[in-house]
Amino acid sequence: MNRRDAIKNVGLIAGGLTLIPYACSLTPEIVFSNLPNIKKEKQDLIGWLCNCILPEDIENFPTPEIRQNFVLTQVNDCLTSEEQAEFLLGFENIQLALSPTKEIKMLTPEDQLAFLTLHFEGEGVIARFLETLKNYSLLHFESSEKYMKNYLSYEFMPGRYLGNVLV
Amino acid sequence: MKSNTFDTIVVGAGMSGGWAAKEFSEQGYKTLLLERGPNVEHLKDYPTTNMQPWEFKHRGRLTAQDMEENPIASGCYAYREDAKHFFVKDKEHPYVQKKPFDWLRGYQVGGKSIMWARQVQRWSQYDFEGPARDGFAVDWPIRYNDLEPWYTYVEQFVGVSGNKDGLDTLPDGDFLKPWESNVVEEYFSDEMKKHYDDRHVIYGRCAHLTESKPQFVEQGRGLCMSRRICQRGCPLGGYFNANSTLIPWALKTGNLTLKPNSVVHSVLYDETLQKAIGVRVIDTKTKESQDYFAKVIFVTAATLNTNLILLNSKSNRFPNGLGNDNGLMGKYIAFHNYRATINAQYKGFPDRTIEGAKPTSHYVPRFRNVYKQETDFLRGYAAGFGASPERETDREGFGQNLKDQLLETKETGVWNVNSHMMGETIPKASNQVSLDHEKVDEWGIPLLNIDVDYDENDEKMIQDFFEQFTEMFTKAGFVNIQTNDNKRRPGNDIHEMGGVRMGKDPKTSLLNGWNQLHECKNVFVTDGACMTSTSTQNPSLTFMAITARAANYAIEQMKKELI
Repeated sequence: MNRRDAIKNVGLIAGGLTLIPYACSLTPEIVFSNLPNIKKEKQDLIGWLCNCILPEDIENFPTPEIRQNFVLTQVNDCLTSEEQAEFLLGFENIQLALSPTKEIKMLTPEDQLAFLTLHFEGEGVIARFLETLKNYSLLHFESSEKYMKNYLSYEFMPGRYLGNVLV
Repeated sequence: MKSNTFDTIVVGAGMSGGWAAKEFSEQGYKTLLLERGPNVEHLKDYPTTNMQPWEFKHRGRLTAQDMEENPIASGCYAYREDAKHFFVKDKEHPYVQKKPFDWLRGYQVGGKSIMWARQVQRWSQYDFEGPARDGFAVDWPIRYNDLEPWYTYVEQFVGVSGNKDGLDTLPDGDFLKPWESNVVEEYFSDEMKKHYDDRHVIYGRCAHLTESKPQFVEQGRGLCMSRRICQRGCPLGGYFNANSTLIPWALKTGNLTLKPNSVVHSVLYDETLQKAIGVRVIDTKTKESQDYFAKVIFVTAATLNTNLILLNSKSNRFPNGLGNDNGLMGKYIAFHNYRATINAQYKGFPDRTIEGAKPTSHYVPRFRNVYKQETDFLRGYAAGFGASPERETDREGFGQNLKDQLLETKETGVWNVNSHMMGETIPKASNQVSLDHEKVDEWGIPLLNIDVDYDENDEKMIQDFFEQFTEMFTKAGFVNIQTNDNKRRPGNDIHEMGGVRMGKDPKTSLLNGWNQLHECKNVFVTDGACMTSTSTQNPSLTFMAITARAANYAIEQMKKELI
């Protein structure tokens, strides 16, 4: 990642922080049956990480559910018990990766970026944890109505097929 | 008429049974249509039909629990969040696999016609002549000409979109207009004409309404809007399923009694009358048993369940199953080999794309061993062909960059092309089903023991597909060609056939040329179980044509009081 990209991402992470109260903390806690220890605070942290990885844009790309609830629902329902165990281990490790006195959200935007970049590029459980968040965040964003209609040419009832259209 | 006595009984309310029920009730015969699963009423019982992709909790994917509990059903391409409720769950209706076999089922009124792939290619003279020419199975007792008018009859009611291609290997039918082909489909078709005399790439004929006709209006069906989510059931009736057409059509006559949740235990045989007199039914909810009676019985419970019911129809006269004097019932099961696929790219037409969608792709009729034996394997394969513009989305990185990249998704100008093989497998006695001696289902009916596998002929055919399609793709200028053997298990094609095969000789077959059991003439089998060989084409259209033909023959016989 070059410096220009990094600066752009720092901007996002700062923006992500401002979104947290709006997107997450006002939502009620949801009990995920296979993730009983992921309480509200940790759900919010996962949501915050997802938002860092791929900014949620509720205004322009609305979805039936907020990002953190979607991602946690997929983790809860679609991962096997072994995959869930690894996910939780990755989550635990990413929290432990910082000094005991710090949380990722307390870092400066630059340090948050450096921290996530470092761990995304790794090969351990933290990297796989982040990849899982990324994959489900992508699924959430790319299946949003506005994205499908405006960027993927999705039509529910096209009623036509033209096979030779000039680009 | 007593409440449990009818003129005809039809076992199974899928597309074969639906056709029998339509023919009988339309011509004034009081008919009982039995279905082991629940009712599915057109429009009313399609719970996901109007859901958008973003409205699904898992965006169409399966949960881990679903995958774990249904390793067989979840192997089907259509078993996804939007349509899995139409499939039998693995635990609900177990069977015994002597060898791995994916038995994919739809236990409901309409059967698998709700979720089918809707490809309807006629069989040709070469398919019906195949076993006799190549010395396998037994000779079909019918030929293409026997079935030709019934193909037309069925197509006119079902609605089939297609081109008239003039090929003897894939006879034309009574078609509605086709959807447009795209530039690469046309290009590949033209290229194959340049390089080969016998290889054709045509529009895949499909059971979708592209034109309105009085019969479709009368059925209450509208034009296909190419939603491409047919497996959920179509509120427009744009594609054919039994629920939107055959069943309501038959009910409208007032002559049909539809009885869902009714498992047929066996066909009842009267040794004094020397014919079948009815069926024994178990109510799936109350578990109570009830006998129903009729002059004529059509067993169309889908290939393997038809085998099961007849094998379980034991009497002093038929201790090994109804009509099974020769001991061949359950044997010579065959299917279609879908293991081979090929993918590539084409860099021509970078300035062209498509708009909208269509519910079918292109089709390559069989070209191997058609007119004479020319390879070291018997028979051959048809193939699907598809081409679509490639879309590129950069999903590297994270943060705002990642989001910006997603918004820059675009077509690359490259076309992805693909083909999959549909191979004919050779019916063999060793590929068979039988009643399990120990295990029974929750109604006390023996489980089906399935012993079916590929053989060396299938393996050779896969290699030939790879070689021939690599050559064809190369000649067309396609690049990055990749072949793949997906190793899918038998049954995953959902084209299992045979076990109660038609033939000329009662010593070597179970059914005659009109689909009557040789040894019990008032019992007809017209679903996939009756098939002597499998050809390469999707078989549903042929099941329907055979059923309509046999039902009308049965009506003639009833009028003459011969059965």
